[in-house]
Amino acid sequence: MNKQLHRDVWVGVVLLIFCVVVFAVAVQISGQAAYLPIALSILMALCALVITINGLRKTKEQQGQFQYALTVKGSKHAFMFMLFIFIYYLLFRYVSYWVATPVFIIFAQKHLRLKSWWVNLLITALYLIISYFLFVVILKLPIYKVGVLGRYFRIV
Amino acid sequence: MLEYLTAALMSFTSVEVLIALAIGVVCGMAIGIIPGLGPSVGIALLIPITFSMTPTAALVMMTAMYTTGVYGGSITAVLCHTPGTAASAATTMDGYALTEQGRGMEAVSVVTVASVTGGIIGAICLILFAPALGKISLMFSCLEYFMIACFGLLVVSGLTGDNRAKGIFSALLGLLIGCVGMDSITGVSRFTFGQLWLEDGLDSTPILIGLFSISQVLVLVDRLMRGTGSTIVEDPAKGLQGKRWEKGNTKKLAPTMMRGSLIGAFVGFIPAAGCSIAAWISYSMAKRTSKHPEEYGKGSFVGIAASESANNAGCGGAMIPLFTLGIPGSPVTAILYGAMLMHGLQPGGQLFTGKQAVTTYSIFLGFLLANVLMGIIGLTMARQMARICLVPNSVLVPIIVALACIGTYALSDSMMEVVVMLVFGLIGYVMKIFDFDPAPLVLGVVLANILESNFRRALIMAAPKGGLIPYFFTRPISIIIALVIIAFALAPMIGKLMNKKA
Repeated sequence: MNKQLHRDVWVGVVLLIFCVVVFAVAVQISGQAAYLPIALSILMALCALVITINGLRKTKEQQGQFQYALTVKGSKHAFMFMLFIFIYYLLFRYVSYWVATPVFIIFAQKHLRLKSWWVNLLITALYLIISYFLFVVILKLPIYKVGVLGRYFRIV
Repeated sequence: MLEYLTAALMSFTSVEVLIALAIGVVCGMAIGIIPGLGPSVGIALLIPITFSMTPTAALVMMTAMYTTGVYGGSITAVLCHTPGTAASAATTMDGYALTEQGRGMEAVSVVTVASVTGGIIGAICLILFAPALGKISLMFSCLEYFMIACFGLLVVSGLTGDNRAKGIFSALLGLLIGCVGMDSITGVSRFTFGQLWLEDGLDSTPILIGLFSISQVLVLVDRLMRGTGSTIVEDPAKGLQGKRWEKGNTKKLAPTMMRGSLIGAFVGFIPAAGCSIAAWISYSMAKRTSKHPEEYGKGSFVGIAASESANNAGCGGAMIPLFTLGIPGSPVTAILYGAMLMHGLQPGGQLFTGKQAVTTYSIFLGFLLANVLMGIIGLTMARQMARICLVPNSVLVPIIVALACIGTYALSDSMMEVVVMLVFGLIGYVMKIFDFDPAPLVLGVVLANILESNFRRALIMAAPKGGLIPYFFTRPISIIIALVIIAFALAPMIGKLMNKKA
């Protein structure tokens, strides 16, 4: 088959498989608690079917010429940044929010092409002061409990 | 009602409420001015910060952010030809044309006055009509609440336009996520896979922060790295030239503003219509009835007065079904719904009686005052506020991420919530890639428990009457709601058919 399919066809098929998995898990739930998940999985499967059919219709109408605003392939920068966010999360969890955040903000601003180091450092410092005042001093958030260095940032 | 309003006025003697109001107004304007963000991102980020506040202060802050966010978007629409929010799109053509003619200051003044007029009239409609509609909801039983929840989901899933199946799928997925955890009636675990932390279910707040803030951050990163970021580099304050107000403007614009405000409040009240449709309807109506329709699009003050009064009045109108029936007609009101539930405010008639009525009227008055404060700031500090759009996305993105992480942690002092938020951020972005709207998913999560518990209670109540269907026919309100749902579901198909015939 040479003609390219609209991506909604694949999206619909993947969702349909997801619905089958949900249905298989839902039927194992005992009693009345299973009613809603079962009903939802069936309704979702119907929607997935409609999405697939719409995708096929679009394939036929547009004869394989599609333009998408966003694509998985074209979103490598976004996924890369998501990876940075997860690394930031790990630093937050295992080191401390007050160590992880300046590292993340400075790095992210540089990565996102903020040229001036001076502005970069100033914004990072301002954010840290304001957020510390808001979350630790005013809201008394026990964030010192998170990370091995967290206790050094506890307000007395 | 008057006694509640008087008591509500007293709540504005509280420093906490006044500070919340001021922060809501300033931050709302700022977030509206910055293209790419908007009230939904701002309110989602605010929710965890308001966690320890009183419900009055929290909701005053969020509703203030809603209305001022819509106004803020119009400043960049006028000065930079870049609408900060979709609701300001109708203002862009005439507003920017006026800036090019060297009348930017007057255009921003007209936008401000029209927005304040619309916002105040929307707030008055909210104060006058919400209690009456709230009384109707007191007649609702479990069956009606179940149907209203279904209607809410249908409305929000219909916002996705052509992709209605995707919208409905998103809403159903939200309901499924809402099922995770222990069933509230039988105590049976669902989709927990042996994980103890899932037994209590997934909180909707980290989900909505992830879906609205983190996914939007990823969109901004993508645009920024591809060089298509909407960062404005030229100082927009340069466009603020000319007189502030022409003598005849008040007389010329007042009728349009009044009409636009009433149109806005009414259209905003209709679920799924929203502020941006209100603005376009008001604009086109002003053009159609004008003696000089040729001026529209080339710098008409009447045009911007019509669209601006309508989009801000639409905010007040959209809050009527939210507070009285629990029907959020837009993504922002869907987030507000989640915030209301988090602060213990269940939409419905009970919000207008007893102690909760004071909180409700305080929120309404706060919304009205936010519009007044917005006008004062807009007229005196337009130059400074406009410069906010110069803040590059490269600065905003890491700050939003850091705020989202600490804010989500603050919800229940749990890192697991941060993981949930990040995972849903990624899911939200993938949804955006494949044209799925995250708003129905959020509403599904928020409504899952309400929908299911009311349905199962309705089943119990219907048992002595021979089942759900005979019980349904004994409830006239249920029949009316069912007819409205059917009409709403069939409207797009009928519209398509009529278009084809035409």
